[in-house]
Amino acid sequence: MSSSIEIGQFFEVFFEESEELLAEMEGLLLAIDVSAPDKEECNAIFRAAHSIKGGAAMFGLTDMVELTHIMESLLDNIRKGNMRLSDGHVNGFLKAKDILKRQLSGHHQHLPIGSEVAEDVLVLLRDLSNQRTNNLGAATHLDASEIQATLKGGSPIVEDAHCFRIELPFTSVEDLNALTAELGLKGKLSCENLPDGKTVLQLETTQTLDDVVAICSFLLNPRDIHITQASVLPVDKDKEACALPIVTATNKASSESSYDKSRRGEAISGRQDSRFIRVNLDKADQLINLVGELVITQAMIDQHAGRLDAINHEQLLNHLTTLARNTRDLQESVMSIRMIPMDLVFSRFPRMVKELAAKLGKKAKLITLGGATELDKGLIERIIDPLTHLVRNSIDHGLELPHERLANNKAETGTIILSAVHDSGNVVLQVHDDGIGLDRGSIMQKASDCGISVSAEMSDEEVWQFIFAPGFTTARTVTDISGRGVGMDVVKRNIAAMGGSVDIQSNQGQGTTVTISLPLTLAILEGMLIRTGNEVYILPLLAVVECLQPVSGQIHEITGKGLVIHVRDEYIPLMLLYELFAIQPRLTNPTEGIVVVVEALGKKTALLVDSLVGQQQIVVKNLETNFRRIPWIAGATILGDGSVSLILDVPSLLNITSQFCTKQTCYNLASS
Amino acid sequence: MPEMVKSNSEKPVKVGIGGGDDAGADSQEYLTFMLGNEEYGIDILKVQEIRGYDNVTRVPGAPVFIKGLINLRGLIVPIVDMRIKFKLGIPSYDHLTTVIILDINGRFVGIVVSGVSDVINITPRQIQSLPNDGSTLKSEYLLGLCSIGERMVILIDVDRLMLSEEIALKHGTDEVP
Repeated sequence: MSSSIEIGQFFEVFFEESEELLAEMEGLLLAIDVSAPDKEECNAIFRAAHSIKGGAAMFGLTDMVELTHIMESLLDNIRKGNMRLSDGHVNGFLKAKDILKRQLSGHHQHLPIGSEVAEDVLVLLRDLSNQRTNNLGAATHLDASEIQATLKGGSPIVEDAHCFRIELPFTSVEDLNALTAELGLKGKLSCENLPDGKTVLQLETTQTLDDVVAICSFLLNPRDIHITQASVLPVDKDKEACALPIVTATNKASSESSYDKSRRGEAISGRQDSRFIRVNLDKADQLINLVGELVITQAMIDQHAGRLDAINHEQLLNHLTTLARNTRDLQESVMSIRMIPMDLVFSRFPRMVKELAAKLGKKAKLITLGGATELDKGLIERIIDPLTHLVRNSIDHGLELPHERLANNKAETGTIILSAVHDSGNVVLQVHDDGIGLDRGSIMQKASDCGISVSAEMSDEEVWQFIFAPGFTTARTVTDISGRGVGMDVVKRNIAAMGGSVDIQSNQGQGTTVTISLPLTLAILEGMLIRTGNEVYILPLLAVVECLQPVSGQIHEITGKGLVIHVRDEYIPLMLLYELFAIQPRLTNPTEGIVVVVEALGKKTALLVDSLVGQQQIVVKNLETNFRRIPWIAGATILGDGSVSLILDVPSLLNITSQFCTKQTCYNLASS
Repeated sequence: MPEMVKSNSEKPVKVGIGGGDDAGADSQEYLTFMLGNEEYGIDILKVQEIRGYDNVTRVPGAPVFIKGLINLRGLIVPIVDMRIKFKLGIPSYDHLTTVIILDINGRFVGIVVSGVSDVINITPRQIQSLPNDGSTLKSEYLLGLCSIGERMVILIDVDRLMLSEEIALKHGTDEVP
């Protein structure tokens, strides 16, 4: 039914918002100056915890409510100046944030995590809360001026105290208990039961009416609650006498809604003024597809118009030029919808660096550059793991211990620089550290231990490539951070899968820089169009090593294993594309055709095709949207003439050839 | 690209033959088409559009009845020739060859048929269960039979047919070697 759909949508919105809030909270916690916390920052952290709690309560996620509740109470005391912020608090909150994140994703996937996970943090936060009570207990012996003095920064705590009379509708015992517990934290609360089953609460607090309404709204419909306010009263006077009604909204739906609106308005203006709208990714993708179509149609029109007489059709051709320009601009802006700034990735590193360095007894500071550089959303998500790995490596293997650094005339604190820049259609990411650098000798030693052939003349670049070999590590001790030798090969593989490349520069004693180069987007690929029979296929240009017209002496047949081609002292298996795809060939003699040498994952193969058609940027379309995966095919695209063309999957083609031409047979051929 | 609506009768008309009075709430519209000499019907709400057959891109290694892929306004859509799949009629391709584009729960697929005939209203009461094995199609893909005047229409459960392992349009079914 429609209502369940709406709930589902709210659920999604809640998850997204909560994730953003958690990220915001982490950012604020890391930035906060413990000795002199900014009041606005404290408020922002409080608001984040509060909003998450509200949402979680709405969906009955009690574990999250419990945790955020404790955080909120603590934060409330801090922001009001009743409690001093300490490192312990910040760390506790960060831990709590992590747990909340896990709880959140657990609920999102409908696999709630066990309550024991949160137990440690709950205990920790409760301890912190108890410290507050002790502090306050001590403080009661002091007189007012002394209390003022202990409050650093002097944020005003003495706000106008209010007395609220809250008339509740008939409420279940659990709800009532929860509500009284909640309100009890805010001030002095008394409770009386009316003869008609209703309950009236009296609350003396410094909170505003909005806060009180917000608290009640977690459990009750605000429309059913009567709240009347009295100014601060001497205790035990008849409150009702001077109570002035300020909210009597029971039957005034209109005033209720406008009240709600203004409240919401405040909540929004309380956050950063948002210049974003939340759009379903499918919608953006559809827009990108449609614009892709438009570009193709425009190209087709251009093709036809090219045959027109330029003088007779001058105006038409002028308009077409304008159309072409507008289409290109439109495509560019539409593509930018999917682009996300790297800041989103970078923002997770300050904390990681801080914690890791502390754990390893090192000193490190992180500098991020080019956070505004934009990258496709799909790539952003996939770059996080490789980058995390590289940063960990830098701290664990790269940076030296403080005393070692001092001994080497370096600053005690190591520097790690994360940077992102655009470079001719690519995004270049760098992880730089000013640590010890790679040790050529030990890498060579380890490589030869692993059975890799090494020679002293190898260039540094060649030596550094060894660390991308599976299982390779020079770390003497395996820690839980790195050193297991699973990592750099995974990094390289993941980045290759995104169509990118990894490079290392290193100077011993001065540091290491790892450079990752990525295409701007997954959806566009530079392709080489090849023709076999009547079919046109596309090879990703990145995979193409060279194209050549073979001479008869270059091609040899290995009985039962197929053909090999001898290129530059290498025997490369030769695949006849027409045979593999069962296409009626135009030519079968390899010397009449073209051989394209392709490479992936360090293996090479050669493909025999009829001819090369050209090279162009293509928009990659997923075949599985309407169809299924096809062996040896990575995807499809639409060519300028509107026809569909298939993109060859080079790694899977290599798997076929490795079956009939192993390295060993190539080697034997070469030596014979 | 030629895009056309064709039919063997002059134009698709809603006919209520055999049930003019019960074109009520529970009646459903079916698009009927010819495969060989038999008339088949599919739920019209599954039909996205009807178009001509133009050049398809062959899929290497696919079974013969999967003619290939076409570009449907930016979507890559597979084309299944039902005439080959069910050995009905002669598969020939010219400007009269008709493709029905179906929307199967958001997945698009085109089927090549011998010709589109009609749009008819059918109520559940008119649907008769199948005699044992009366058709080339397996009975699990059929909803039943329906007589419209002199004609007999075989109603296809197009969702089941198109997502079946036999057609193998979706991944997760057996791998094409």
